[in-house]
Amino acid sequence: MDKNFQEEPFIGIIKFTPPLYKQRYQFIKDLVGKYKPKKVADLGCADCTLLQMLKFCSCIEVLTGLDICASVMKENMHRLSPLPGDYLQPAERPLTVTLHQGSVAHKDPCMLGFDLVTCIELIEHLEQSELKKFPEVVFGFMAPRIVVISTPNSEFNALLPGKALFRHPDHKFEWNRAQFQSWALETARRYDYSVEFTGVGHPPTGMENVGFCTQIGVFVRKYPQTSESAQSEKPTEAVYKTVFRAVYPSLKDEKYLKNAVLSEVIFTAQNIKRSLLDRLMAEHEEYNDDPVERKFQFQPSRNCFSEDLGKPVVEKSMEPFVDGNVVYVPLTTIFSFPKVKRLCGTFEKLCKFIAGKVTLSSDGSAVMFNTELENEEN
Amino acid sequence: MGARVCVSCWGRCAVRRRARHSRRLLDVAPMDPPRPFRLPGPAAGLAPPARLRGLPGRAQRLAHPEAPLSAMLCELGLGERPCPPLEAGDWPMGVAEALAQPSLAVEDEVGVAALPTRGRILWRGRGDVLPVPPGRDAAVLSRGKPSITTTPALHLLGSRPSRPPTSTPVTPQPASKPAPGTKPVAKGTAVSVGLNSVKIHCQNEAVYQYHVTFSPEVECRSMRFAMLKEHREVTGDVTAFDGSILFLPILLPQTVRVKTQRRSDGEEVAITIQMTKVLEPSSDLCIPFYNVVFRRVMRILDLKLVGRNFFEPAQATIVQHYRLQIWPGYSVNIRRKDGGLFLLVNSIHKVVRSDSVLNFMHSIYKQDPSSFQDECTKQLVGSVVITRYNNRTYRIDDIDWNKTPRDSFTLASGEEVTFVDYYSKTYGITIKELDQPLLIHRPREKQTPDGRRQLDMVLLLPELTFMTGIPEMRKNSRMLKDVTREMLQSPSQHYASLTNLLRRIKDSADASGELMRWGLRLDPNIHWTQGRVLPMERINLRYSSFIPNEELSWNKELTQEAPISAISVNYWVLVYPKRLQDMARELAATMERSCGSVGMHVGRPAMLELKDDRIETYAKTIRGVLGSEDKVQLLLCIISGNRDDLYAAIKKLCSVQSPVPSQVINAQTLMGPVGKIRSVVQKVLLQINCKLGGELWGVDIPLKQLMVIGMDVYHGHSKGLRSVIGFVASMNPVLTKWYSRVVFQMPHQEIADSLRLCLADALQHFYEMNHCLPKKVVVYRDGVSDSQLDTVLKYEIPQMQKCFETFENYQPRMAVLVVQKQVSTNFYALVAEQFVAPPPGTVIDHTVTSSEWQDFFLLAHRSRQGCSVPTRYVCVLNTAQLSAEHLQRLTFKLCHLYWNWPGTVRVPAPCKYAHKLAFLAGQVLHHEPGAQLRDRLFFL
Repeated sequence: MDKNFQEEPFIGIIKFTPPLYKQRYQFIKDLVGKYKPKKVADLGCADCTLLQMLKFCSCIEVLTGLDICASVMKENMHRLSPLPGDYLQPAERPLTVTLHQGSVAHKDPCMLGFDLVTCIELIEHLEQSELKKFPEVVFGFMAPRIVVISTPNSEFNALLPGKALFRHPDHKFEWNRAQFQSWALETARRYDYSVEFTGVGHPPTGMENVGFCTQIGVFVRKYPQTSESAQSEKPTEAVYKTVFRAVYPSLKDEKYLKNAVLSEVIFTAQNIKRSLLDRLMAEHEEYNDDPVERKFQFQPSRNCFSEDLGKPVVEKSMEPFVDGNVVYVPLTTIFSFPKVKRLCGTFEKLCKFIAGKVTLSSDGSAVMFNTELENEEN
Repeated sequence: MGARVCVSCWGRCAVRRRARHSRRLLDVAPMDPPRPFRLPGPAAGLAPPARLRGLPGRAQRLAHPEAPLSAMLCELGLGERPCPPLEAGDWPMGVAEALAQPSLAVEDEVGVAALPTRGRILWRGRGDVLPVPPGRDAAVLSRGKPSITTTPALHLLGSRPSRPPTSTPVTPQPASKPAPGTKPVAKGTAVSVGLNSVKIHCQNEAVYQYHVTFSPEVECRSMRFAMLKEHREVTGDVTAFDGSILFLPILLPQTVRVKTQRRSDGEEVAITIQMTKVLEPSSDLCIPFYNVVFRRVMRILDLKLVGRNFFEPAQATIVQHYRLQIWPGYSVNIRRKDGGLFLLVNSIHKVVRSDSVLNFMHSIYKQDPSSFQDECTKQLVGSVVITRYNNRTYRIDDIDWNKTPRDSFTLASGEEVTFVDYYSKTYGITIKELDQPLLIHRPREKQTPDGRRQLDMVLLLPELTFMTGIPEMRKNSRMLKDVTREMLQSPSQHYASLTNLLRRIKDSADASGELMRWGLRLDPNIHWTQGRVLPMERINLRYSSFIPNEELSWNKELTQEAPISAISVNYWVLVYPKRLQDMARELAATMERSCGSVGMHVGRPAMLELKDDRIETYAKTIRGVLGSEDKVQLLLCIISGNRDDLYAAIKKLCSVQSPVPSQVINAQTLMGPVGKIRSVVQKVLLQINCKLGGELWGVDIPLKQLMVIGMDVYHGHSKGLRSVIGFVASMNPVLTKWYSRVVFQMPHQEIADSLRLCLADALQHFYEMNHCLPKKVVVYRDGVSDSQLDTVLKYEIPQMQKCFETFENYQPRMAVLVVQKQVSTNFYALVAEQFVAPPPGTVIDHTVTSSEWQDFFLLAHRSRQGCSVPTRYVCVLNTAQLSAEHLQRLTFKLCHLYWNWPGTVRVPAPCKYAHKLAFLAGQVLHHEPGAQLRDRLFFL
């Protein structure tokens, strides 16, 4: 359970910086950065520290934690909830974080289809019987693209003073490198994975022969993704209990997309309107006022396009215009802004999203602003 | 309370900006309306930069409802005033009978509370030993140390060397607090009042308090937590532990000794868990961790903690036009009251910009690149931001224009890292703009529980932060209106959102289970209790008196009949710039025409036309006329538009340098239809009358030889600015003459230091006017939070008492009431199945009152929109033999006497006057006003 606190911070002689548990998590983060998995599961997630770090990886869309102990997960699980700030600028990617209570010795269909499954300091906590079922559940049933397994290297224990038999009272065993590697190679062979060995926590100079403090095996599946049909043949009885589930606000959710589009459309239209009015005023006053000063003032507002919106491709027919007190900003003009375009995709969607939310001209082709009303406001 | 919950960013902005706004309107404006509705949304708990303690309703000036003219002339009291002078004790309401009959309904309420011993001691304890606060001692008593009933009191007195306890007139209290709930129900209509409090039922018999010792000693707190946690099988899963004191809902059979192994060195540590106390489940000691438990409940319901309150960003209302989001939410607090444990819950909102601060800075730049940095500082410093990557709020204290995200900072590990790398590595965030400046937040000096010092400075990236509160409030009042409309809740909407929360807690097994672990069960509904509506007060004008209409507004009567006294204005000066000459002439003429209807006489002014409207022109002219003429009664200036600097210059000249009553009118208010201008002029005339020493109206004051004092403090927002105390004391029996003083004191010093001086001066003046000293002094002290009550008692009151000694043989009786505008309390009434505001004058003095202090809630004003927020009065001292009911009625009477508003206001008039005075002196004058002005309300 408290696997995070094994070595640090009380080791007299050997102290890792950053702490060893952070090095293990960083190792996973680097791996995520390299392989860009969309669905990631952490088996034995304990207090969810790794999951909290991983939720910031922008490639991940599904993040799942599994632990045998629900109460340890519950302690900090609220940290996996979306932050207030997430609602202000919803991300483009969707993200769902789920926590399950259950055993790695049991199969549950919710664990299918993952790209990366991590088992950080997990296997040494397993009873013999559980350890026996573990490869079949993870490699045979879940069969993710990548599996990462880390476990203490018992050869290193000699350098850790004051330790009893194992580094943690709950450890059922601690393997040396040969033991871990033979188990890993055998597992990889049986389930058609390749495996590479590495570790974190370098031994002190002169003691290199003991190897890393934590040994890590990275397993990569050799056969292609099992097809959906193949998976559906697998047993579908759910045995895990869902403890927590959070769906992050994202632009994939129409509610948030709509808001984002609307906000962008109104913002863009207001900018266009302002610069149009500024220009008209400048032209008007050029005749009876000091033209130099006016020109100068006008300059920055036109720049605003290029500053934060990207230069639009404006055709003649899409020019905004003024009629009496009303400014018309054609939707096509607004749609030509890259940010708007990217959000909506198609012009039809743009029209659909803003329907009823902004004042449009009678033919529905332009956003209307009443300049008189605006003046009243100020 | 106000200080704590108060002001979300939104509130803060609101307070500051509105404060400014109010000043602009100050002179011209129509009378201040009573706070029309509540602005929900206090949150972040950060002190506003320009927080005026006694600021009236925060929303006060959001809407300016014209004073309703619907007042009907009551048939009563045309002619002579029936005002039989009565001594204290014979208030015209038969207190004696009232005292004798306890309310059954109320008693029932308290039967549930199961707190037999507590409250009873309170009031009674006070009765025995008079000048002692009810609170502290009583609290001690109830914890089972009855032997010290009187000693702490004596001790307290002893600490005031000049006033030995023996000299204290120990008189029996006519109105002691018999027991919670059995308090007398006095005259007044009973009314059923709903509160935004929810009763918490404690199912468990007790909470057990244990002392935990580690041997050998374990220094690290988190290590102690971990070690104790290993012994869950002994303690159970439900614990509250602070490192040495452990609370459990269960009784351990005996002293428990367990052993554990220290991870670091394998040494064996013995843990001893020994019971120290059996607590009532509603004990004060439990409240802190009950609140922690309740925060967990809110989290289970997926409400997001922002600052101190919980919000639901997923339910946001989006105001696209202004790029704002309004998040609905709740403030929640478990408190112990006279009637037992309550959950105080309030429905609130938070306004957040959906733009990052960086975007906001861009838009400022677009408006005017030349003043960009200044404008950013002006708009951003002081606001509260939330970040994208964590759940924290920060107040912006400064902007570092020289730093960029490419600069480095030092991590806790000692590693140097640039902001760009840090955000990329830790949060996977790519910083888009590498040249943005950084925002600076300086945490307040505070020690963490572990004794570690906090960081001195936090640097934030504008790109990753969002502003909360309303930006650019100053300019865009339409935005303010739109946003306010979204946040406004009628009493029934407010009630619905409270019950919604209660239902969600009930429906969630996890949430209610979390509370049940400690045996706490929430009532399914808000708490209803019996309040009472104080009798209507008669308003006295010069020739007539009347009972006001139900709305408690008498604008109509006021503009049609003569005030108590009017000053003839014969020597006055009208200053105006040349281009407003027509308006000035029109104004002078209108004033001459209209003055009769308000019972005044206004002569022709000396017209002083200015060639332009620069400040220097005004200043030179005013200085000239005031220097050569000493007969000038009034100086009236017309200025074009809202010009803070010009206003300040004129006020400084007329209040400090050559003191003379002055009135500044913004030309904009004199434009519009004739009818509107006439009503503006009428209001100006009334205000001028007050400023010159006239009296508008009064109420019947049965207490003789009474002096009422109001005090409030203004805190400047910038560092180093001195705080200002406004002190206002009544000078005549009908409380229509006021004497005022202003004292400046050191920064952020809340408690008045120079009180003695002010009071001595006021007493002297009282003596000169009445040829006697007051026998009773009632002090209303605004701007004191709950935590400061003790300071008032131990520091301010002795100062005042010491002052009495400077007069020979003078020992007046005294009552001191602290006035707290309880932003988080709401009253509802149910009329025909509809939730409405209870009538003005509604009082509640039981059940939800403090178990430590003698306090009551009074709703004196009529709120036009939104919910009804009562004012809380805490009586910290009462040697004046005034019963609770007397104090309530006196307070309500005083709420009628604010002459800037022909109706009742939220706080007693002297507080409101003191507030205005402190604001003017602190914000505008920065000096003490001239002594000649002290005997009139020149600051109105």
